Amino acid sequence: MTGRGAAITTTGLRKVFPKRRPAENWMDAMPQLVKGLAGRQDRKVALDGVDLKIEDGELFGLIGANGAGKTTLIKILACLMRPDGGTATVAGYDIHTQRMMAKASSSVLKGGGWTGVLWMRTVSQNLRFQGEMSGLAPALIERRSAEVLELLDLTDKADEVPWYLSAGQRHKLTVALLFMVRTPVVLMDEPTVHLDPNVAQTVRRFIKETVNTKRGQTVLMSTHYLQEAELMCDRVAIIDQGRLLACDSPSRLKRSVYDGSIVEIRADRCTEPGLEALKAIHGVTQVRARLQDAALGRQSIRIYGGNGLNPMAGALEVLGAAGAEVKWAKSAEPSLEEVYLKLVGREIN
Amino acid sequence: MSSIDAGSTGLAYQLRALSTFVRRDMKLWTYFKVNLLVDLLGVFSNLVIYAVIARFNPGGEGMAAYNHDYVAFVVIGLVFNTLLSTALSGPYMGVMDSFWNSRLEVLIMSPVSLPVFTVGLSAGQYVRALFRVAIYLGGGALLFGLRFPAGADLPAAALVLFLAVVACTGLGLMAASMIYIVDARGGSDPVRLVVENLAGVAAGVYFPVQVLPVWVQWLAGLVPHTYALDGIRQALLGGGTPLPTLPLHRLLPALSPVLTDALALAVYSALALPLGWAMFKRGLRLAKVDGRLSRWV
Repeated sequence: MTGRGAAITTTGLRKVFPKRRPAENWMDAMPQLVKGLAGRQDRKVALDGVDLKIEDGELFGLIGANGAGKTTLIKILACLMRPDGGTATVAGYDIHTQRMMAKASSSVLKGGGWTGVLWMRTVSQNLRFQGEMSGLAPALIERRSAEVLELLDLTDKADEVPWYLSAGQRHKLTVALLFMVRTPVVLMDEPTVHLDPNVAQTVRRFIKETVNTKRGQTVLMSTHYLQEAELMCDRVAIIDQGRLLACDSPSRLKRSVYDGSIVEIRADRCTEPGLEALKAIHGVTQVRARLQDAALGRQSIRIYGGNGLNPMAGALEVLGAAGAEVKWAKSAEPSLEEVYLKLVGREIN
Repeated sequence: MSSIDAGSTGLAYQLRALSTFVRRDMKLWTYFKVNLLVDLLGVFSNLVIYAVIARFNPGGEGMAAYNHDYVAFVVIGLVFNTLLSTALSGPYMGVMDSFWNSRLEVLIMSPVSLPVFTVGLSAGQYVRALFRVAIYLGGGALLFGLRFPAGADLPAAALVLFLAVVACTGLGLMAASMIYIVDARGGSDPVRLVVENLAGVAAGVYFPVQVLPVWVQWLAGLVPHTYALDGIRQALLGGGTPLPTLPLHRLLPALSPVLTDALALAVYSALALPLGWAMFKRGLRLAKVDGRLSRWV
């Protein structure tokens, strides 16, 4: 974060969609038509007064489940959709009154899709088209193409057409198209969705190290991978049903929802009575266990202590008495998943 | 921030973007060589069909205004129907192609101005149309004796063609607006349905309008193709003495038929282009409001 001012601001941003359901037959379609004509269509609030300020050079994560409003917010900032209320600026340009400059100041990536790919042109021709449409000089297009191809390990695919590429390589191509142009603001809608772990890691590293840190571009990325947001982002906002529920750095968010002690234990031969006994330890407020290996009875256990009590010693004693074999135990921080659960009231996936 | 590209949105950029559209479409068109060959052979076989019909001497009723030359009559009809169909279908097909191939958001997000975006969507189709036109004219001249008589009024023909393309572009923009105004994303729309059928049946592409019942002739007057085809044929084939062939010509006997055609097209253009442009912008705006602009959901 450079503190050079706001790259993105939104004020009271609001968006409401009519609820659409395909009619099953004419009898079903008529009431819908009448409701539509009478302006009484059912509506869904996608964004409900979103106020947000993202600083210049920040890597900002937008966390939310499917349908929370992440994509709608990104589309509005990309000038692909008009809000019903409120306003926003991108790189200082108002999305209502300075649309052309706002558009020229941002680029957008739609994760898991085929945005912008020309099927019947080679990878390098695709990159050239993107560069030309973005107003880059020919020499810069050549240089930039070579650079993004190398960065994304696509150099040997430069002369192939996209439909002969693997799904991961095609996704890399959409990322490469995005990075042909260096705009002050980069908007990414779930950039690693549907990617295999290796490609996802490459894309994450590229976004964090090259785009954000080296080039200083402001990144707004939406994701429902909480660990991804936690590892990459300077700040995150949690959005649900169109409302921003919280916005802060991952560490402050985690502290804000839980200030007690957390112990994380990995143990084999862990039985139900043993887990029940953990809950009975003095000062323990919650125990969450996840079975990792049924054959070994291996559990990953998180134990939450309140009132300033550290439940580590008590937990090891109880598990030992229950016949469990503790592999390791450590003090832990709350995770973003727990922050999300606390704020939204349900798990993200 | 030195590593950030300066936003380029000026005239030079807009012209470069337009040429990029054309080159892109040409690459897409020529990628599948067999399809390209079949496409061009289809154009040639269409020409052959009408040239063969011409051997049965259909230069009788209603052909006096066109020098009784059916080959020239039908080649001009095919050529200008190709160009006018491109003007009519170009914007709709361009938007639909970008929409279904998930490229629309990239184009809308680029700093291309809306007029360049709109022209760019059909620019490549015009280049394709010119190849077809070349086959009609070249094949007609080389194989079927297509000749234009002395005294052909080329400036008048060019004026009529220009006005007709403008008028059809207005209708084409109306057709493209239907994608979002009435959700016509399935490949057909009500505007082209009406105009193409009326033009195909009654505007005189394949036979003179005079052979049709008078009420159909009046109906044909609702599409610009009718005035365009008549005006161009009379300018090129009429030998300097155009004859009244359409109901509007008989309504305005003081004016030369070619001038009447040009005036009708000018009025049509003055109404259709601004209306089409307003509807196209309205359609895009509606799509941005209700989130249907692209396939990105």
